[in-house]
Amino acid sequence: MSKQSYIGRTVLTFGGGTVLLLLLLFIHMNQGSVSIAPSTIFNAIFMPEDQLEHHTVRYLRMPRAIIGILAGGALAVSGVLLQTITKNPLASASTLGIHSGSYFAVVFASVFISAASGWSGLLVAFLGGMITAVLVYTLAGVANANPVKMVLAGMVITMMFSAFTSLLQIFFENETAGLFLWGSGTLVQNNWEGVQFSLPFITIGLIGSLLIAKSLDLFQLGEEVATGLGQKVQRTRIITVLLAVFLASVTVSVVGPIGFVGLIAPHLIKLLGFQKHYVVILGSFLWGAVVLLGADVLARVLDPTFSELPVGAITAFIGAPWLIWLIMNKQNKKYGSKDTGILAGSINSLAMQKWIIPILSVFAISIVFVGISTGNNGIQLVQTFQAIFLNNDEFTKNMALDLRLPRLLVAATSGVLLAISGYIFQGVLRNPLADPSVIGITSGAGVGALTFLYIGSISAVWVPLGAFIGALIAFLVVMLLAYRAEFQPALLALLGIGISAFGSAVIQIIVVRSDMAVASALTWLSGTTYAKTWTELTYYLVGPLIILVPIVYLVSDRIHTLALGDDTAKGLGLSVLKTRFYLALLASVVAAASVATVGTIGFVGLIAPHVARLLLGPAHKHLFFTTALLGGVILMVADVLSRTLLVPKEIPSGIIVAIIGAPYFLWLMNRSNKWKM
Amino acid sequence: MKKKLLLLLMALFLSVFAVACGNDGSETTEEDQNQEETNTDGESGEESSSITVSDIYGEQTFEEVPERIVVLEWVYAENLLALGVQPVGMADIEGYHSWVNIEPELGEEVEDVGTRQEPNLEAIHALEPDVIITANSRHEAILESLEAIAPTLAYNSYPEEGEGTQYEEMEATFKEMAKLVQKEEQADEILTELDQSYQDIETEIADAGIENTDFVLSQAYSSDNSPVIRLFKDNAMATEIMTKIGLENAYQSEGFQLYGFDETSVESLQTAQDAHFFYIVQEDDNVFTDQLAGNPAWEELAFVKEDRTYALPGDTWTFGGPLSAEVFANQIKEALLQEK
Repeated sequence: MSKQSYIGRTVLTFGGGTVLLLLLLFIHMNQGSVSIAPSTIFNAIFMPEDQLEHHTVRYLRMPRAIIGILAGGALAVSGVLLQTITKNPLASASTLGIHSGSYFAVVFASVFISAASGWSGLLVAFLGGMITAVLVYTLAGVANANPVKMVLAGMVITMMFSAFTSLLQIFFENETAGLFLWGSGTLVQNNWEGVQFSLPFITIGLIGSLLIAKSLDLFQLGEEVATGLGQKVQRTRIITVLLAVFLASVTVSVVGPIGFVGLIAPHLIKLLGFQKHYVVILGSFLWGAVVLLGADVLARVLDPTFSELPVGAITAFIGAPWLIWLIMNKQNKKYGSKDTGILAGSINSLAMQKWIIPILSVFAISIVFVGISTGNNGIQLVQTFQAIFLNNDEFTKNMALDLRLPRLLVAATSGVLLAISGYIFQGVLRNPLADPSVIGITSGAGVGALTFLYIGSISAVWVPLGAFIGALIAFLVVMLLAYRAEFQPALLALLGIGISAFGSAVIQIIVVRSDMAVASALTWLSGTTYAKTWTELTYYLVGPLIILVPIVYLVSDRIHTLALGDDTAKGLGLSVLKTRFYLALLASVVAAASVATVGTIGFVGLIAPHVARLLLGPAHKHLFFTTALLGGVILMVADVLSRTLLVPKEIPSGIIVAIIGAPYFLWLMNRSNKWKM
Repeated sequence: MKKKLLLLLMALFLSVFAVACGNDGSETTEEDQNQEETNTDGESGEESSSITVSDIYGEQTFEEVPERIVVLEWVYAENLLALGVQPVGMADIEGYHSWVNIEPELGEEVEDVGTRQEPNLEAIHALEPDVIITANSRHEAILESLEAIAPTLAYNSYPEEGEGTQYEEMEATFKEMAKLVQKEEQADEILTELDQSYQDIETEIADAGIENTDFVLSQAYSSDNSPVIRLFKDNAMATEIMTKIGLENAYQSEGFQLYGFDETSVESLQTAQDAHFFYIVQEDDNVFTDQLAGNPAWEELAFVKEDRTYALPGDTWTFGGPLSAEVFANQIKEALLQEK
């Protein structure tokens, strides 16, 4: 870059950015439920008088605008630091799960310790954020932290903490009522306290970041070079992470988790060709402010009644497509090898293999027995079976056969379908991380279902159809993008994250915009086998089970062939693209049937095939049955736990699966540090 | 590996088992059943004519007056209590006590059947209800399951735009429920008395010489330190009650809100500064004395400067039945008159 054009860019970036920021500031200050003339706003700022209009501007609108600028800037700088230190272009406080960790910590504290705010809130948020950062870093493998693995670990941790947070929200509906909006990030301020509180911390964070800018420049050259030039790499790393988490948790404790700003702003600056961290940090701060303030302006344009639309949903709404674009644009460059033959699993003793299916079957049957006779009144094995077979107690019989059995069977069938769907996806896309929720299909189903409820405002009975259509649309989008990305496993996982985030943003916007009871939407979204009857089982599940599963079994040869790699498959005379498309479509339909019935239950499709491979090895002929059985068992166990753990309250099964599944998945990931990802 | 796996499976199995055994409730069901038998024995044969009640789906016929009623929404429990009937089961009793404050208390023996959002079907079934009463908005999706347990009546407290007011709906549902338990006269009495007390309150307010009858009604809570302010619109039941005691809603905004309030910020209060400002907050979460105190944008509002703000107790339930309505009307009166 010539010196002249560099100066030009700098002027444009900083001058243009400042002008844009001022323009947005002006629009922002004009938005409100009372209309105030621009001249009055001007006077209020520069010649304040003791009158209500001026107070409105000075104490309600200005703090909101300023906190937007501060938070946007802080998040962007935090993103820069994280991207450099993890050598990961996709790192940011939200993609690494730091936000969700902080947010969970704050919600937890507000339920169990009393309102955490100000200092204590910051401390809690910071602790939560630090723990998450350490967790993600360790899991992704500190030394050879692979970008994709890191983001994936971040996503799984986000899913886990969200499950915990929803759990708190469901049980403490009234205590956490106000936290839902804030949980999506909102800039609402009612005085200068938020600004006064965060300004010094953000200033410290910013100055600290500028002080280590030089070390970061060195760090970027490579650790060896940096060490050679006399830098203490380890120290730089720790300080940088601390600063980044600190900046993120200051914003979480004041405005809630707001995603994607930390991703968009730094990349804008880097796209303009800036390299030196001093400039990148300052530029990102400015453009982070522009992005967040702009999103808030947009949020209030979209919702003119000024019932708050969370600005975090807007940043995700803009940010997720940006993430997808970023991934598509950088494909082949940074995300590691194209081919990953990691449908791994250590093969255990042969004796074990023989027994897997019998053991699982026995276990599944005993879960059905236990489940039928377990419920609100504890476990009653003997009475229940006497009631069923000897017909001596109509009441218990009805309870077992009309309430518990259909639920169990719905859980079992959904589990089987999800597991099979994951099994196909993982094989066909040669991606160990593919499953209907990771590649965005479940979130598409959520959008479809809520769209039907909200825009159609039709009966809840039609929700499953909406979910089905949503899932298929999401599938087509994923496939289109994946096709362009040549189905690279890592890219696909990242695309899925982008699409999921976009779906969640749309879901949030719909939930806030509609009059629907938020709690009911949240329950459905978290996935539940609650109150499922024979009707759901026969309408949505039996068909797919009878028709689709045998088809999958018949074509499982092709899945194995595809799993061997494209070249081998072609050599064997398979039309790779076509086969892959149809198989993936099949997997989506299978998953959609399950999502339509029980909502968004993650992890089953991801974990069941993994466990199966762990037990049997990667290419065992019983893999299909084992996976299916495992899926059914996992969801049945979750169902039994969901209705017995806290009687008479119900815990959505999806949350139970996430609470069991996320740690398992993280453990799996940690183990796989030894494998190639 | 094999060992580990077996251990894991066993642990899972055991935990399910332990949890299941932990809730030792088998004896209580038997007791309930015995009780139930004696109950029905005593009542049988008294009622001869059948009862027809309608809910939002149409008419349902009951052969005799239902004895065991399970309610899944607070307002309908309240309606029953007003008529002197205790339900056998209700959802979220703890929450009810902290948000609703009416005279006939909910009986100690009423069973909790889980959350209002996902009530426990087994717990409901175990109570062997004669009828279940619920809110359609919450339980449309599980209506079929409820009906499998017992005849279910579903109501909707929030009519769509142009389909009548929340207040009218409250009265209608109250009367239907009275028909169900065969206490229609009592219901009419209660509603007439309620209208009478509105009139009395109106006279008292007028006698006290309060000329300014404009009001704004707000319910507020904090969300991470910043207040969320609900301002009630004309279609809300609470505003209609206040109109009935001769007051006028000064808060106007565009658009229809199903639940009857806008969720908005301090700024909107400016549009109704000359009114009396009533607000409902929880004691430990008073956004007006906590977060907004000292903020000129709040302090300079006319009703704050001129001391026309009134805190209502946290358990003022604005989404209830006739009893809540009366409690609410009286609270408004007391707040207004105390000042004089």
